[in-house]
Amino acid sequence: MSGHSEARPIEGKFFTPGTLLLVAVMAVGAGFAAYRYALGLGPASNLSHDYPWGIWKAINVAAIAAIGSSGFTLTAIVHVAHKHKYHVMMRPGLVLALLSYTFVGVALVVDLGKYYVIWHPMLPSMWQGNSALFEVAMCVMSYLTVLYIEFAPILFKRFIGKVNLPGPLKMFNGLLEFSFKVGDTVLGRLMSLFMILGIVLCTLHQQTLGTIMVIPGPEKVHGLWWTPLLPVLFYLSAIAVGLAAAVAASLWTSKAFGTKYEMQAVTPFSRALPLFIGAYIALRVVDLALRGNLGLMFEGTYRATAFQVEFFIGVCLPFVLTWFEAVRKSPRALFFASFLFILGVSANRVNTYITSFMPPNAIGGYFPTFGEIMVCAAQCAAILFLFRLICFIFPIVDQPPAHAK
Amino acid sequence: MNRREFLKTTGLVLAGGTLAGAQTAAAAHGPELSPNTLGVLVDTTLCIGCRECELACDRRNNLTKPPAPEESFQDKGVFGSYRKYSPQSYTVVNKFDNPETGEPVYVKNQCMHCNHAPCVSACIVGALSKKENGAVHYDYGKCIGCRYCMMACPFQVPANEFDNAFTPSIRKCTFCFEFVEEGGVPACADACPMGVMTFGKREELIEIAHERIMRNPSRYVEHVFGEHDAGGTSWMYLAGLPFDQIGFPKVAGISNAQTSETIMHGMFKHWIPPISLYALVGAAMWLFKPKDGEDHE
Repeated sequence: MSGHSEARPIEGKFFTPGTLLLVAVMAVGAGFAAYRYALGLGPASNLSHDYPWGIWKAINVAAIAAIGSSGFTLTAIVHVAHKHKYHVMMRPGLVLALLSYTFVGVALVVDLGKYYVIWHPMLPSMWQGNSALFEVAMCVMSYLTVLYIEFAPILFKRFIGKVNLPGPLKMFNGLLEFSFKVGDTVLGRLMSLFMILGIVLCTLHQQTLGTIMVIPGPEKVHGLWWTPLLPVLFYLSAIAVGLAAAVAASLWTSKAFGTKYEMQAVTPFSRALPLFIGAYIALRVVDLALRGNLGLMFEGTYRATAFQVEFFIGVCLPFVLTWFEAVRKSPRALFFASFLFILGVSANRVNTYITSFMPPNAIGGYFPTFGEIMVCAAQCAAILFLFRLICFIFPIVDQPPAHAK
Repeated sequence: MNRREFLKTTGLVLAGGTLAGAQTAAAAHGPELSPNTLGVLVDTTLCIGCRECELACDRRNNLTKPPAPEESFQDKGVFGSYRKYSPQSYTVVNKFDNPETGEPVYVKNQCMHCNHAPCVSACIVGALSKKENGAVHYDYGKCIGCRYCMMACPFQVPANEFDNAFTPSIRKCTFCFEFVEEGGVPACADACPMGVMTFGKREELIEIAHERIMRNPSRYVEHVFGEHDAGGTSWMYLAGLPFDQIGFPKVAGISNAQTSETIMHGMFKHWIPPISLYALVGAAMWLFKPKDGEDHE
């Protein structure tokens, strides 16, 4: 096959109608975010005394963090299991993780009431080892740092030998070049340590994102979602959705930039999908059965319907689809199945954090405002936009040698 | 060691770790309570719904700004619908109807000041803490506004100033912390004309409660709400109707903080699980390295 292809920055026109649409969504979302900063969470959202958490926590933090699992799952496969034939998927998956986790941080700055003291959990005087949220905060922060370290070699590769600062900054060219080379060498030696650290950090906080909903208890969280096994279920689904996101990211970059689909890697890689989704389904069903809660899905309430959509369409259907080799060999079908599973796990996060929530003596319910939805959409748009931008600046996507074009 | 053996060993080590975690399950009891910890016993059968407690609470904590006129606290029209806590009301009296006699039952609620409070356990920065005198105390200076306490509270007590764009605070009953520290009495208990609230050592209040039930079994249901409910609370209740008929939420006999803390502590027991995992992944990375030494990038 194209043994000579290598990752290079994408060339050509950056702005397409799709890219402009992303910019428009980002602009509208930024407007609503400004409204939130000026007038507060109350006017900008449908959050209330009974429903203090909305989609900014469920989607922008929990679901986006799950999608960011593409980073640690790929690292485990490519660098721990040394399956180097999947290396071609590594960089798109890493960039997706990097951006996802960056926007988890951004989401918190929008959602926290006192966002300007977001650094408080870092102060030893305020450490709170009992708090699941504290564990998530520390791990996400550390893992974000690890992700940037893992990205650094790509930056070095891009600029070593090409450092060319404008104007009077020219005098620093040599120094910057030298520090990039030193950084590249040092990181090259230490990278394994950071990769392992990243996997450990993800194992911890992907579980704890589930533990977060343990404390409201079975009295406040519906039986279709509440279980002390929430951390295990969240971790298993994070691995599965990380694999799906890695597949989707590879296929999407190929499609978006008109390069060939990396099916020689993506097809065998996606064999892992039905295995992990299947394990997740099995554990979910066994847990529901043992707790005597399987029947709740037929109780005919909107919660039962939400569960059915999440579980049967978002989880079981992708499981069945990816079981077939024909699907795994077809870029279109495989993208559909992976994307459906990403939506399914996102729905699970939304349902676990919001739909399942049953505050005592609740007045009304929660449905996001248009502004909340737009801020949420804007963050997703920003991830896609920056993904494209990074592919234009850095060597992310494998392409055939330039002369072959 | 080949891959199969490695995976087998790994599985055993992980299973062992899980078991060890499960065995430490009993560890998360929550804070040790002082035998002198204080509380309030609320006898709902004595309450006449005069709302003097709401007024006293409002005045002591400067809740309504500007202060709502006293007459507004005499308005009985508020009993038409169920009222909840808000940043301006730390305590609320609600009216229920006795389904048999049709007589009104008034219930005064506020923060229960749980012994092993889920909000304290959940708080990301330790802004909420259980004090020796029994109060669950809130520190605005630490709070980052994540509202996890509101998610965690089994009684849906903490209120957030959603309309405050710059300095939103969590607001809830303070147990009149500073006054109680100096030997005082919570404002509501002090103001009550009917002696609904008995303020004192929690252990003694439990005795008083059971004594009242014993002396007058027809007046009370045989349940001191808060003695064990939600793991025990500083504020406890007596009632003539089952508690689920007078607005009390269903809660477990233990604090849900215990379940959550068991998981959290198990995951980080002496840092052994994370460090073992690091070592295992490292070992795997080394073992799985291709033998030809060629680590194709």
